[in-house]
Amino acid sequence: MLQQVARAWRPTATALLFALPALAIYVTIIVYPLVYSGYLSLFEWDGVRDTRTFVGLDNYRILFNENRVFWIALKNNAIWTTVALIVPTTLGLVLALALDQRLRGRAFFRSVFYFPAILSFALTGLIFTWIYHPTLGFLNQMLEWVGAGSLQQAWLSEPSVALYAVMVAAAWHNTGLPMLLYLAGLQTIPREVLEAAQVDGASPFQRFRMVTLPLLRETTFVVLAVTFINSLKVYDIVYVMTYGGPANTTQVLGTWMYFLTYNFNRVGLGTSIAVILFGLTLIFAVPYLRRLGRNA
Amino acid sequence: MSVAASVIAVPPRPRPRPVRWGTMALYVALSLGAMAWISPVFLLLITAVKSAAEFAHSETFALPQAIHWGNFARAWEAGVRTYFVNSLVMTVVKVPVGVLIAAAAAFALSLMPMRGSRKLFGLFLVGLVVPIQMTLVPLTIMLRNLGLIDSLVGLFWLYLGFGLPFGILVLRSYMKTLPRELVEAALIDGCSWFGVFWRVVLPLSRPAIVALLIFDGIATWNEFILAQIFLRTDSMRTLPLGLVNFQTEFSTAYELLAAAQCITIAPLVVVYLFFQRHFVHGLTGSVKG
Amino acid sequence: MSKLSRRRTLLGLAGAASAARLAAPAIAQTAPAGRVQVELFGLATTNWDGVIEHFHRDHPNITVKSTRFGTDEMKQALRVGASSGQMPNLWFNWGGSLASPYNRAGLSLDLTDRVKELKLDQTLVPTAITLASDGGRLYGVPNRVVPMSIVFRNEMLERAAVEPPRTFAELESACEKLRAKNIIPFSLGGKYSWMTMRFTDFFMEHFAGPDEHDRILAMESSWESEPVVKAFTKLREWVTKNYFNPGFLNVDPATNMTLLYQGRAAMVFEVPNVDLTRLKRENIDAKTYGTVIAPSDHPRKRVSGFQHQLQISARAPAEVQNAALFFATYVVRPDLAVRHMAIIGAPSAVRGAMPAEEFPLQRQWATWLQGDVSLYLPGDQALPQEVVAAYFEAQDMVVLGTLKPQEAAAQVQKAITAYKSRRN
Repeated sequence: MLQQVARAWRPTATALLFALPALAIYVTIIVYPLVYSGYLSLFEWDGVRDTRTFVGLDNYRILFNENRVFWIALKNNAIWTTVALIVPTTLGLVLALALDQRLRGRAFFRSVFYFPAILSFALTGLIFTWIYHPTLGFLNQMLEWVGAGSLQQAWLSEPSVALYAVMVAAAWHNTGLPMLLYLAGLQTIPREVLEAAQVDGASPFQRFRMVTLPLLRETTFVVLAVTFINSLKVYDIVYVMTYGGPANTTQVLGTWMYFLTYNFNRVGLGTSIAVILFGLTLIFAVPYLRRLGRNA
Repeated sequence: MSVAASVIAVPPRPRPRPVRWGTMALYVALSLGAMAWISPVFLLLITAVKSAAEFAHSETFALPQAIHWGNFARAWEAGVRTYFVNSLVMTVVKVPVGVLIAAAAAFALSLMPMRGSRKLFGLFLVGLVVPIQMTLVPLTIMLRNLGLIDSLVGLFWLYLGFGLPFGILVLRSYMKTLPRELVEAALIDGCSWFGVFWRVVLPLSRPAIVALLIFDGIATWNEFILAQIFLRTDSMRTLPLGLVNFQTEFSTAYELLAAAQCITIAPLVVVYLFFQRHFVHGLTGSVKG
Repeated sequence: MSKLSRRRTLLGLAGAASAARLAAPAIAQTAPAGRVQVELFGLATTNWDGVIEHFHRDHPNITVKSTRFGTDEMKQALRVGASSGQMPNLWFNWGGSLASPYNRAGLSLDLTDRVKELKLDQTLVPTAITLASDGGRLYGVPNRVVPMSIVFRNEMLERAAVEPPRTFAELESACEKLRAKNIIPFSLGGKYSWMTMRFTDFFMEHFAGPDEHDRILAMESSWESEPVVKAFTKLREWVTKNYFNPGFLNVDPATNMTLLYQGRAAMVFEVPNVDLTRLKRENIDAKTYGTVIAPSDHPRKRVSGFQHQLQISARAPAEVQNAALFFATYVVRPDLAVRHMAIIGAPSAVRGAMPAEEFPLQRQWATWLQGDVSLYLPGDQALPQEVVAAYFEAQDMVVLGTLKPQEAAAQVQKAITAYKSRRN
């Protein structure tokens, strides 16, 4: 009996051996910190001293009831996510549709549009901060030059504009991946189906709406899920471009967590935000992960 | 490390579609769009080759009178060299190691009989969606206790860990498309599991591996948050971190800043141009599997 | 903290004697033997490497390795260092509440009992020591005194036929005249909020006067008082009158001088050291720039200012501590002060040290500081950091117009109350 069990588990044991390095590193670097962060969110700690005070869920209460900037950050993440789910994704789709034609030089165009995606967010932020400089930057100078001086703005200093200015930079970076995903998705649509629709007299727009779009559903799901998850995590680009300002108006959960932990030494509050962030991510992440698991 | 796309490396079937719209109109639109799209990078380039005086006295978008290559050398000497070398070493060491470890795990999760294989895979997948912010403080404590703060070695392990979920996802998906008969045949021939892995599966997985090497390489080269928190001294800095600190030091010497940024981008561009095919073909694919 | 060796060597007496201008005796110190390496964190705008080069020649057995940080990156690096328990051996710091966390946590070496031994009280100007002191104790070696001054480009003032202002009214009238000629009166970068704070502090000094201002900064007087509200009001007024460069609020402070170079702005609120860190670096003749004392219109002339100090890690091994302290005192050796000033900037904390001719702005301020101008700590060092956060936010919102001055004052007072109750 024991022998049978042993034999049944032997291949598993060998397999585990292969997975062991990855598993060991993964648990140490990701799983353990994940759990520990949740634990830390129940304490008041300044990150330096050896003593921590247990406060239970008080940190969460403080965030929700007393922390004005938390709500600003939450609102900004909501705006960011909404825009991100609409703009770079749609733009990516449009570009994919345009480039799915038999076109000379489509590889060239594809490279150009995907290129920003290989830059780091920090670098993208630096480049656009410079473009947005109110007096020395390209944008305002160009507006002046073409006679549209009245459109000039303090792009990163004006609260009503700043977050959107950063989002433009992010969209520039983030359109490439949806474009590639949609391009791949379009490849899988059988030519015959579209041709049949054309023969039936459907206009290009009707063909798109009735045939292409539904068949792209899987791809769209992936694009949206990935975009959603990433937009909750946003940090580098906001940090580099606005530092959460002016007056904390462009804080997002990612940057505010950083400020609380590293600038104000409220580790408990900071990790609480991280936990909330993770919770929000799971909303979309769980169905996404389940699909990934199912397809595999 | 960054986002995951649902990936199965599938070589696309070439599909010539009949041209429907006014091709000219499309070309014009695309060309204008591409020009606008690439203009920030173009701006960066022309700023990097201007002389300091030129920069101070002309508009930002004015073309340089003469090309001032010296800026690159000056930026290099002013510290970019250290950052570049650090980033290079980190990328060249970490990426192959990470891919190998991920491949081994992916192999186990896809082609080897294992109980709880799907659960284990699920565990790895969680890492795709965990926000980095959730791990920072415990990692700081951990590295502090190990004396690995401000060390490229410490950062190496962090990068390894964060790169695993995506790597395992990509490789497992790909390996699942390989014919099981090959594996079985090799086993029957007396090959050990390791032999199957090393001599059969790995070579067959080349497209996915190459794509992953590129993608992971780029992500490592660009990584900022972890570098910002866990590296401090100048000699340890990687490029993204070094660049941000560079800003203050050369606050008014924008042409040097731009030159430094160009140096950062250059290897990416090289990789990008040479391995373009792999980007599109290796990394995207049908979700339907 | 380990005891240092009792063996003392008086160094450089000959050198000190030859520096006829300087009457202070040389700093007494032990010269560490054996090879040691010291890690130094310095500001990017300070050329420590220049001094280190000299130091290596004079004391080849000690190696100093420096890393440069931007202003806010430095604050960041020190915080991360503290939280990870790994401070560098030697680091630059400001004073006040920016340094006290490290002092309180026992991370910086307490030098109070060694001041006499190191002759710091005789070598350094008292202001430097006062500004660096934390609760009556000294936790670092000051090397520079940094006053906030109005620096202007002569040509721009001439263009508007404006004389360097000597009263507050003259300052405002100068701004008006510059505006009329389409010249931006003041160029600044408000990202990180501290450059804007220079103006807010200045307005508070003007409206409150030295004594009341001190009470406000010590949080003894309530912020919901007339001088504070007037200061915020004045800030908003200057914004609406366009006395600042448009859209300055989230612009990088490091870009403030560029508008002067381009002839579009006239003045900045800066350290006089810019004649070294900026003008000399950009090959601009420093004589085309001038400086005035920010006119608060009070008989006791004060400007906001602070000092630069080098702090030593209390947790480093003894020989590293010795070497680090040795370097810190080397920087302020009276006989070497003039040489070092020319490298890392002035005014120096060393008594009687006069910057070289080629740095007119620094010279002017060295004279003034040795005269009747005294310093008060800026808000972001005088106040505890939590209150600073509220101060910055309130200030920025006043600039934006989203908070009325009274509300802004109330907001800061609320943070002060919260801070005080958390302490108890």
